[in-house]
Amino acid sequence: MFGRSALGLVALPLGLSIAACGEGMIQRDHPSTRAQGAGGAGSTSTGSVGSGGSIGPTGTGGAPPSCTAADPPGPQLLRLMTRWEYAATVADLLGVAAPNVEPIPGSGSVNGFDNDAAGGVVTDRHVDAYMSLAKDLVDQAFAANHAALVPCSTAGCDRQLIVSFGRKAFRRPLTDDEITRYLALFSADLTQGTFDEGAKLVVRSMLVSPNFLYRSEIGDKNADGTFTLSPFEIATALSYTFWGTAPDAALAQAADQGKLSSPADLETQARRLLADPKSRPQLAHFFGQWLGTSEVVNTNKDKGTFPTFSTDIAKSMAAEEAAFVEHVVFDASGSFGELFTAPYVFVDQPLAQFYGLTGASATMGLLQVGPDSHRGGLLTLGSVLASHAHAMDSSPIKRGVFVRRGLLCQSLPDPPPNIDTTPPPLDPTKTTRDRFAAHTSNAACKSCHQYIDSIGFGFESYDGVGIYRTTENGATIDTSGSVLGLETGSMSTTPFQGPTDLGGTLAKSPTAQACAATQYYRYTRGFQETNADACAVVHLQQAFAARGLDFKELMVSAVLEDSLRVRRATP
Amino acid sequence: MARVLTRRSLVKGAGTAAALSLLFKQWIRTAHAASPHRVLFVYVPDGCRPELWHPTATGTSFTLPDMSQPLTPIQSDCVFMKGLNMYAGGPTHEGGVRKVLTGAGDVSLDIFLGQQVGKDALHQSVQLGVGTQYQNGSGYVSMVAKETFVQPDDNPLDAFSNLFGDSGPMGPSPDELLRRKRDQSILDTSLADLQSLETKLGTTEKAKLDLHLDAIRQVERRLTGQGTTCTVNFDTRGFMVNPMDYYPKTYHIESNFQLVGELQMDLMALALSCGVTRVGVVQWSHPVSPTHVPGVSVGNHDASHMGGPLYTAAKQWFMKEFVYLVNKLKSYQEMDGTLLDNTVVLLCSELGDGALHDHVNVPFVLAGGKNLGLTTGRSLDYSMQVNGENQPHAKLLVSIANAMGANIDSFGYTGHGTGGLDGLFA
Repeated sequence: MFGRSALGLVALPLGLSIAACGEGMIQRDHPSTRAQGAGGAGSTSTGSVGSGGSIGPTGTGGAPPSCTAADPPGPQLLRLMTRWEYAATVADLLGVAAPNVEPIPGSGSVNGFDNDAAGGVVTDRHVDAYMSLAKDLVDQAFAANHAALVPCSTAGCDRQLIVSFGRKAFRRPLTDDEITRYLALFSADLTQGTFDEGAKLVVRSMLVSPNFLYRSEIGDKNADGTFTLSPFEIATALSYTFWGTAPDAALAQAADQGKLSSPADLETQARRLLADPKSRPQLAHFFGQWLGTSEVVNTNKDKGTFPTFSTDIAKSMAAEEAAFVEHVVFDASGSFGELFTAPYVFVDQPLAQFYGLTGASATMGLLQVGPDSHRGGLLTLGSVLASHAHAMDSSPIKRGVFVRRGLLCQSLPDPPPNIDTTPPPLDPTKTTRDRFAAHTSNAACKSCHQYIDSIGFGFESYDGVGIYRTTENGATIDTSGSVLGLETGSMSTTPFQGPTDLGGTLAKSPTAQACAATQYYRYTRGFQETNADACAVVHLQQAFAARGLDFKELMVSAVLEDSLRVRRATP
Repeated sequence: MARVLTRRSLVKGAGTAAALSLLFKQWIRTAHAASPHRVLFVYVPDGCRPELWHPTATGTSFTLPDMSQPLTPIQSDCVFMKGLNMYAGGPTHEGGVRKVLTGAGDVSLDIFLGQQVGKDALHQSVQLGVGTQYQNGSGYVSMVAKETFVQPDDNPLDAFSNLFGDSGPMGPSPDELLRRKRDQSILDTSLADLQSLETKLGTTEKAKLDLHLDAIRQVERRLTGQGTTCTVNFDTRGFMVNPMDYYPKTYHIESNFQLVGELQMDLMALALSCGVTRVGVVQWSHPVSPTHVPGVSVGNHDASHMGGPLYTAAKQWFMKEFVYLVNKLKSYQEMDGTLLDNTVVLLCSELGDGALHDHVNVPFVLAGGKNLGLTTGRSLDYSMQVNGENQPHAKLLVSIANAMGANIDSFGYTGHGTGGLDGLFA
């Protein structure tokens, strides 16, 4: 546990250990390059084929030949609820408003996702926080919803409460041992003769139990040494994936009746959950983590440089992003392409004014825009542009890295430790592009920055808070950008003019399409893929392509894959 | 004016008259015959200008340059170290904050020492923050496992009740005893649940449950801790958390920065003095700090890039607060000296040169620690001692660990050799 390794910060997936970029050395951090069989590398001739050039023709189904004998990709896991999940879960369980979860220490995130199981560990500060939150919440709930929580008053009510609340809190039936263990909380020295004191103690105990705090993905052992998740664990996985909270009564009932083992049953439930409004904020939550925008409300911008930016504008940006992705996925085509090319935005009046758009309604709503608006699609969202920028200026580097890592799933090494990574100082006589020119004129920097800066330069018509501009420091902005090595195996250069144009390119890019599936895989699975996942990831990428690149279908496919249900033993 | 507030009224007591002083007695474990040795890590954000920070002269006669100048009154309590680099482990602010206490390993020294030598205290280690969770996209110094930060507690009132519990001056009331008994039963149930869960798992996930188990036992020990009493006077200076402050929280409002900082330092001194913990961290803000410290017109990070008088003023402000802390520790008399004599304090940051984002010649200062073998009032130079390169700060972490009684010869990075720094601790 106290390993003293001198590993780099960012765990490069798949054990990559490249120290420099250089020609042709950029790495894909989704595993498709390793998994591919004979066919189709880099092929664009088949149109919508979508997985970083690693798969065969569309719709062939099945895994590439080299994958057939693979062990289950995912390990057994205990997934500590994130703060977001905890808040929603306790609110649902107790029928109270979502609590302030600030006292729970936050967990680190991996590749942007805070639900990575590796980061979910409990310290004494967590226990303190869980204890005190449970006490406050239970007092509150017993005052407000007593009848719902304690639906009985006769003898045997203690057991009845334990069995029924325990089923919901642990997301599975309790064992006899557990029932006995919790019955002990009704002992007279603890209750002082008051039933409710025992009932509260049971509920509080359950809310700090590891059986509540961790989502179990342990499974039951099969003859071949693999593990299959129980119907209860599958119900839990479905529910947290789509709703970010515990299963509802219908899903719990399906698990109780064993109706979650066939793909058809699973699909029925998945589609039911997705049709429920609860899936909307959860989708937005996923996008916020994927796009690196979930902290936009807390972003720090210099008031002197950006006088119109405020916390309220940042909140509108967050709401804009949520409304936009929810609309595309659930109310419009759902297609990957529309995410990048939608001819509309979601704004409220203050945000429209901030962007310089006219015709918006007072509250957040859809506004059709034309090309002159320079808006439309993920890449021109204020949240994206402001999050990937500095406090006083834009950042071609951050934006370029965002496209590479976030949208193309290509990993870039961090700069080596002995390199001076000082950004060029602000200069009132130069454009940002000119200031950063050194990266691509200095050979040592260029080996990596040739993959980054030329993408970021194409975003320069948007300042550090996402406002469109045509000049900077008196000079006209050059909006041309290019992507070197967009597709796997290719070293060609793809030019573009500004983010909306780049959006059109990414919408059609097999590498970008595959990356979306990879990111959703990371989010649903709660761990970073390794070589063992190569086939599972490719399989999901194929399913996404085969189902018309419809994001909703990707979400359904992700939970239908065997890789969710079947696990290998943890080492 | 002394008034006893319970935890609940303390946290939720906004609107009640401000209590100027709180008197608490806390049941804690029996103090040892000799004062225990303690360690405190103090982080300030965004590096320095090394040429304006490190004294030029070495030895015992030296003058502090502009940025560290406010430390002059406590110069004889400090050891200034130049020529220390933080190697490996990632670049710039984010890399720096991850390695400054980990030595580029996985676990930070506060957590490690808490587990190694602080086990008998009510809290193995205590992390208090000043605005650390306000607009923080860069991380925290304390790490419990790979890529897993421990966020400090930014709310001093919350921290107070966590550290000193609910007891009144007469010891626990019958209600309080019943409350503890109930809490104990919850923790016992959790432990039993954990143990049955553990039987189902392989080692990776078991390690996670072991951490959890350890966490429960720590909380349990706090409930059952018994021994001598410690009188705790904590002057909240009228600070109250307004529950209506959603963003920023009351304790994150810039005009409260100094007050919250000083309350956290007061609390830390109390916790160390009372034996609540032997290992502490005070983290001021965070890397890329947006905070305008009093008297400086730009945010700390912006100042670090602008340089000049603004940066110097920001650094000087933090140094004055460090003087406050050192004097506070000095004000507690123990049987064999002051609390400062029994506590080694490390002042650190995540960068060397704040504008260059480098990890060269990082500003490290040790203070106190006389009874741990530290001779203070010195300026030391560790430049170019390893094949012409600067010594690694990981060796400084080893020296501190050794002084605290942890027998290790490396902590994190070993690329420039193992062992501690020469000539630091006796």
